[in-house]
Amino acid sequence: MMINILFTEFPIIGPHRFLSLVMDWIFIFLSFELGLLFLIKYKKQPKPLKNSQDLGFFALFSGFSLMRFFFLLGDYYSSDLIISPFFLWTIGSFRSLLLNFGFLSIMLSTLFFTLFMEKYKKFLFKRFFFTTCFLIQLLIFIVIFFINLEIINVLSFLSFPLFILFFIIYVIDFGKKSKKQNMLPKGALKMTLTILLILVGYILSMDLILENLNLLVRLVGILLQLIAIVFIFIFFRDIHSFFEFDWQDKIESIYILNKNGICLYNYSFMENTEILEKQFISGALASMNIMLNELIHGKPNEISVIKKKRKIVNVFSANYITGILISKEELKYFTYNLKRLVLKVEEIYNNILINWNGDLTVFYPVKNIIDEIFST
Amino acid sequence: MLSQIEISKELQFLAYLVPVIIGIQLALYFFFQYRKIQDITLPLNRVLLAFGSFVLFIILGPLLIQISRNFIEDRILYELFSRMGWFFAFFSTFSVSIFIIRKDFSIIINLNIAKILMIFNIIPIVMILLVPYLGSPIFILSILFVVLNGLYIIRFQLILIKKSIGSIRKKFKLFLIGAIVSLFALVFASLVGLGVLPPVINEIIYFTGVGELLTGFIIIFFSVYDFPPFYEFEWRNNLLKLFIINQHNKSCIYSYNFIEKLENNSKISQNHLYNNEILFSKGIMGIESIITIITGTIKEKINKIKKGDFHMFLEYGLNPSHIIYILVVKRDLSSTHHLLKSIRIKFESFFKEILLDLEDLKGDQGKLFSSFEVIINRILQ
Repeated sequence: MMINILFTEFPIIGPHRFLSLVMDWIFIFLSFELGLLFLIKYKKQPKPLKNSQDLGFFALFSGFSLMRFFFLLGDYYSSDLIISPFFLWTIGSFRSLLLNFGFLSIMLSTLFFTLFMEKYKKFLFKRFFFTTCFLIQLLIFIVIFFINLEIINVLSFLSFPLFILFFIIYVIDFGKKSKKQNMLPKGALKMTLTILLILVGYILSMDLILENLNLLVRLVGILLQLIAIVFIFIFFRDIHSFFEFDWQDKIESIYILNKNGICLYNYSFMENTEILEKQFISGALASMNIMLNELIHGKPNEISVIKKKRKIVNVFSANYITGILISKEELKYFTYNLKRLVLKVEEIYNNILINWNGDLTVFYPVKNIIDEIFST
Repeated sequence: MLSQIEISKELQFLAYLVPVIIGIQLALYFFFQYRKIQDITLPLNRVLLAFGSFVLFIILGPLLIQISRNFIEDRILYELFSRMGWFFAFFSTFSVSIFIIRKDFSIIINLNIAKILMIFNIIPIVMILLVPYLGSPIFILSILFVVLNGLYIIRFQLILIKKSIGSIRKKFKLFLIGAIVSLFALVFASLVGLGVLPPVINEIIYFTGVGELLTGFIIIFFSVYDFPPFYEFEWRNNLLKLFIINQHNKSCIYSYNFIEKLENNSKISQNHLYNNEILFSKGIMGIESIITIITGTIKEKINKIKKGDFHMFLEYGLNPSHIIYILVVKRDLSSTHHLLKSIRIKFESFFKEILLDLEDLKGDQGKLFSSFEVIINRILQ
């Protein structure tokens, strides 16, 4: 078989190679660490409130790191000798094969990123619109990968606008929600600056720049991306889940009852609602809970959820008290926080509840506990 | 330095950069943890600074030596980097010694031996500046002093583990394991550095060493994560009673008797202390008022009362501010302030929602706040 050498420019050599390689390597490692931190954050979350957005960021940053790793192998350790034939392909080089692997990593990670993000809400047109687009794009990429290795550099540019569009919608949406919650007022601005840093850094470290300018410009590009990665982590470290934003519209009221069905405390989240006699409601709810326990002998400290059209009754019983939360929708956020509330009230009032003398005034501060739990 | 470098050396260096990045992050994390619980009343918390410096110097030293060995051709630069590397490596044990010669540790180690070994540790550091070349036998022999000091530091850590209890003991244990695992990587590094191994074996040994260093650092990370405040060894036996008083109605809303709970052998009888909380709280309020009138200090508050063998420390609430926390102890230990502050923070956090409406709260307040005992027991652990 005859092999023809057509063109060569890589691996990068010269006086600045080592410095550039070290900086690239540090960048890869820090991006991977950043991804890992999101994974740890996800793992540390309580099971009912696990936020797959963190998993999305883990996929994004680890995919980004993997992409840069393949690029590093391609830029510093493999030749761009275009060989014909090259394994399965008519023409190709080791470098372009590694670049293809790199783009495959980032496309896969972008797909998972949008999937985990769109799991919670619709960003454009319909739910999973972007996920579908990225999936189609990935399939096209795989098909082209087997046909032509060298076309990848052009194709990779086409995927950028879609991702940038998704990110802009995400940042705008996040900014609006944050404003509503009085959180991170300058968040969107900071995020935009960080994205700009990443983009400028990425452009400065592209092949095109390396071929026309010099390696020092590429070094500046990597440095900018390193700075951006630190900012990104700071920004996303305290990010709130989407489902934590809208819960106020879906919760109606909370009742704390003792084992005899007496309402120790009740709280309504809805304004201008018709307030029924609380002892009447609590008595009925207690009877319902007793019946439920008689019918289904479940494990102690279990959450019960009773569904009726547009009304959900969440019940959690501890040793001395039962908490009942009425909502319009079934959310894990409610069951998780109801459990927290009941356990906290029981922990604080433990000695009062053991031998309660009928004084209801002692339970007035429960309102503050509700505020505290449902605001964090 | 910026010339084309051998690929194998380049790869070795990249592999070593991973523990270097983690080591620097770890050292910064130690310093951050120190800052987080920084308190002038807790001098022993400087252990975090000592551990952080140790990790930083032990990673920077070999990094500089490796840079000089593999990438520097200029003789002067080579000597500079190489000597700086050795300096950092030897300084790692010295930085821990600065911490262990504290007077507080005289009850667990012989401070004179620690001081002598620390001075001996300076000899190789000075040698770095004096010897004409680093292969000199005097210099190699002087390394023995660093080894000796290192062994003494390990001994100190073993005693520290033996003498401490609770979560801090686990942390010390983890740090020691992590440090020993990391130090073993130096054996691999020495083998590679001597250049006595055949090429492939040399690379295998090198990367195994890097892996070991990484493992050690990860163990060390778990030791520093959530590091508790480091109190004096005798702090538990020093505690007598805790009172929490509501200044507005001059009532004691919570009290705790440490003598009963710790089943201490102390000869101090409980009868020496007021057991009537109502009398105690009103008495303290009275003293406070009298002192304020006599001294004409309305803004300043009493922080400490000493009477015979007893010391009373007072801490004032932040939210709400009319709650006073009083800790009665036998000796004035520097950690007492921190402990009382910690009790105040935990009380305000545990009853945060209750304290907001304290004035409107009717009924038996003592009974309500008695559930704080769970937290006190946790603190004592």
